[in-house]
Amino acid sequence: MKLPAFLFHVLAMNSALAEIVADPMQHFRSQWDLAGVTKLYKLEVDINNDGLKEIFISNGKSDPPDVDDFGWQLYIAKPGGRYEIAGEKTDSGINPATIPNFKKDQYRVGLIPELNRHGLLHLECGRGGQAKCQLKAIVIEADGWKHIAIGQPVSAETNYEELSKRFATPPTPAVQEFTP
Amino acid sequence: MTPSVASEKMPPRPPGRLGRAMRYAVLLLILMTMGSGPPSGQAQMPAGHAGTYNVFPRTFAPGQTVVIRSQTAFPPGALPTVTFAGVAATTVRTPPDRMALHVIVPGISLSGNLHLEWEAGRRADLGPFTLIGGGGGPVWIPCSGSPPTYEVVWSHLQSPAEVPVGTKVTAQVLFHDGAYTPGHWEGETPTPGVWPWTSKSFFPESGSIGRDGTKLYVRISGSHALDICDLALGETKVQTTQTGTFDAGGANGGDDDIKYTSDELGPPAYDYDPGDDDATPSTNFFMPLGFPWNPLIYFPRDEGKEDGEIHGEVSMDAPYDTYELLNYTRHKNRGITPTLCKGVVLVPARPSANSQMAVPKDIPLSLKILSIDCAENPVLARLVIHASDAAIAREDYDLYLEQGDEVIQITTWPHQTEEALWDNRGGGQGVHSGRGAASIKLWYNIRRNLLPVDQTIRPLSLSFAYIPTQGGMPNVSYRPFRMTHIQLAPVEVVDVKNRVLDDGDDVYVVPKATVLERNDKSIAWIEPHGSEDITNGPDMPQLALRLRGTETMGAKIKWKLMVNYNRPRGTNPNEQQIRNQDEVYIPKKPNGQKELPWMEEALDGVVEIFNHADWKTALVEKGFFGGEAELKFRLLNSTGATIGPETSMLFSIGGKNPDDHLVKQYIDPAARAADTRLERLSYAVAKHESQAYNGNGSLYNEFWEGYARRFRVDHRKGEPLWCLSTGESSAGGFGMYQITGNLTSQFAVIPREQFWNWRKNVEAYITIVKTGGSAAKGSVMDRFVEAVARTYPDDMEARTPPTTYAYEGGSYDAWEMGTITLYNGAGGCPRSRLKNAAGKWTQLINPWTFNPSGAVGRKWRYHANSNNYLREVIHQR
Repeated sequence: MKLPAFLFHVLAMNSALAEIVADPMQHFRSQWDLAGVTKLYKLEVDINNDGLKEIFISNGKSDPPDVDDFGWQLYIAKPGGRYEIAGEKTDSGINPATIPNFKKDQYRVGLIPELNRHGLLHLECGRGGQAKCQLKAIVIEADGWKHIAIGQPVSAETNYEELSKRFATPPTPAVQEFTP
Repeated sequence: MTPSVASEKMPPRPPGRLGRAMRYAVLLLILMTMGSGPPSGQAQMPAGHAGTYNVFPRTFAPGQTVVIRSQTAFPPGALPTVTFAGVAATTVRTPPDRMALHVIVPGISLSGNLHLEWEAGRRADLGPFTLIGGGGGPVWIPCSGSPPTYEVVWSHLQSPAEVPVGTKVTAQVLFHDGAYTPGHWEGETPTPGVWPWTSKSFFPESGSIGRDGTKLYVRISGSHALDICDLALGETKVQTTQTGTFDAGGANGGDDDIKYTSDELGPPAYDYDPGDDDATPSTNFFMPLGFPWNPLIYFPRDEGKEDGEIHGEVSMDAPYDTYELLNYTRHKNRGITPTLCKGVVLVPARPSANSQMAVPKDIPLSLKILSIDCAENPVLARLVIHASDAAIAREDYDLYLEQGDEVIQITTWPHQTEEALWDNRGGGQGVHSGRGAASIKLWYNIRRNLLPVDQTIRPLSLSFAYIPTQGGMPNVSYRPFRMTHIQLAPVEVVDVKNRVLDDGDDVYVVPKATVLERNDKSIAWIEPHGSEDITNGPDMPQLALRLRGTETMGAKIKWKLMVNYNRPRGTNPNEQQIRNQDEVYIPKKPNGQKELPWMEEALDGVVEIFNHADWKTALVEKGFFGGEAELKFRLLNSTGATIGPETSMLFSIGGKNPDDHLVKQYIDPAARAADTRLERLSYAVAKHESQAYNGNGSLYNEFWEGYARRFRVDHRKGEPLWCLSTGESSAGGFGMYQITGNLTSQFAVIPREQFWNWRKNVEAYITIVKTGGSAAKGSVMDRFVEAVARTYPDDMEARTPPTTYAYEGGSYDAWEMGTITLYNGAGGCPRSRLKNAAGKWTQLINPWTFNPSGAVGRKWRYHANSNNYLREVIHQR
């Protein structure tokens, strides 16, 4: 692929992603599979400190199932009460196919000292005896979201308590629940 | 066998004791003289010792420590070179005593090729060497390499001497240097020639034999002597004693040429009468077969223990009774551990006219067991027979207990004819008694083979005879003596292994005093490759309850077995489902019934639990089981009336880890049969999931090999490996594949067989990754690929996931990578928003992402999960 064609391709894909919606919840209900879903989860919070609250929505359903970490459709707040559906910012552009994930009751929003920027901090742990835990931040860059690992993975058996101290109290704001 | 007699209290020194002491002194002088230089005939080692020593075929595990002992100290600061089969030991060090090399072997199989090389001129008299530790079976270092030195510490006959080729000999030895460790040496002459013998070549290790520098005492009767250099430690193949050829040293042992002192031979460290320097050394320096790894069990009286009482006294009236005593095993440098020993006291019916009761009722006897090593063969027992009667006038500890014309003669010879009893008395063997007073106690060491080679099983037996005397001597007109017997029949929980009793591989399971007691011998093992039916497959222990000597009682027994594993709960436990899996009752407990029923059957010497229908059903329905076991039994007479109390035997059923190479041999074809794409990494998954939980380098750990607290749960040796990381919500992972729940739920109570049977653990893995239907990880991968193609129908690349994805230095198939990753869990994997068949967005968790805006040829991308699992697995290849 020649460069002009490639650039066109990228721009075309990114522009196609820049879907703007006025009502994220209504959008989610209309676009996502809600079969068998009993609850919808919504977190409304300003994670990039721009004075506008982003909206995360999840149906709590995944394949394979995961009761801990939910995947969230992120709607980035724009001026004028509009929201942009966010894709993941990658080295090769915005990937519309990936969405962020975090536990619905274990996160922190605000300034993340390690990054010196605002974002949503959460903890990811693997399973099994050899499991590791990793602090991660979800931040907004340009028109996409990005997952940034903080520090090195550590043993879930021995280091979980220390890592989880930052999530000792219930997060604010809390995730709200809705009927589908 | 000749028992010893000692008084409980310090007795008066009898006539003749001074003369004996003089002889001891002479012997001491002889010994000192012999130890001052090389004995005549001793071969000198060449200066700058180097030599190759033949070693019997033997396999050493990598990193195993093997101890090489020398007769003489290795020079300080000069470590020898030790080579095994051409491979140098990785670490060689000498402990402070410089008598032993500790070498770390490279993990090899070898035969006939241990090589030691020495700095020239530093020492000239090393060797012979003994290898101790590691592997199984004996290690022999014969004299064929360089002629070793030898030193016969003592023999009152010629030394060295010879025995005929092929002669199997047994000698009882005692090392006494402050710690009492009786030894039993056995050997045979495999080839013509002589066996140089040296006391110092008979090395102890870890409380098993004795210690370097200890004296070796061998008294050889007749014209034979020993000439030995080969030592078989732990050898069990030589079991035939050349009767009458060898005899252990000790008092009352026969002829008068007794060359030892009480200081040299006894009393042992657990002398019941400290300070009594007249304690007669016993001749019963027997070591159980399996020696030297089986420590002696004894009752340390000086620690204030008073267990061992058989319900106070054996009344002689009760036909049967049970006994229970706590023995203590003193491990060299490792303290003392208690061992529970249980059994049945059998006092046959009152004497008939031809076998009158010999002990009159007005001289009550009581029997106290100080110790019975009922786990070993031969059984070693120490008993106190207590005779008390107000009419018994005076006390001595000479041969007889006199009362007027009467003598109470107490012998320890079991199953002797009465005639033989009399004859033996004249020979000085088998007849020992004490001159008593109102209350006397006689101490005996008794040995009986409970597991003899010829399978003639007899219980430990005591015979009591009350013998009238005439003029201070037994009245021979009373012959044959009228006797009665007490038999001490140990009740044994036995793992008969291959469902065949008494075929040589039965394992005795030592009962525990409490559930929490830690005793490896109390574990009936699930053998990882013990199956008779499946090649290299695991097998449950084949449990039986043995009551030797009860075959002819005409009695009955009722019993019941309860086995329970306290499975770690994880999160969201379902207690009822756990109990349904992990509680096993034989006989089966009827629904709704709280009390477990008894199984009643005729007592024919053994209860074959493994043959009980409910045992078999439990295995068929739910598979292997383990945990803490309680076996209760009660003896009944022929009419069904209970005799003796209800007795409980506590033990464990635990698992041993399979051999690494046999695990891989099983996993590879199983994975290939499920999907060829699983063959490459499946065995590495098991390695990674269970690695290092039993020490660095340990792999394929299905069970814990020690006691510890991990993952906030106390686990015991032989229990299934279980892990649950902090913060993780699940039932926790079991076994080598860390099976966590099932495909339906990570909280599911998995079948017990998936952690007690290592092969079922492998099969559970196969189900999860491939054969478990739509929820299987492979199916998750299939759906992801389909969803990508569905969401981006115009993108050719979306329909062709990579088959040669470069990762960690290799080339892998996308399905293979994704399936293995998902086995560990999708935590940390990206969430993709892809369309379902209805055109709605759905969330799929997968290590793969497809970026439609990515560069051509690079739209598919693999992402490690939180544990970077795939990389860890690949590194296990």
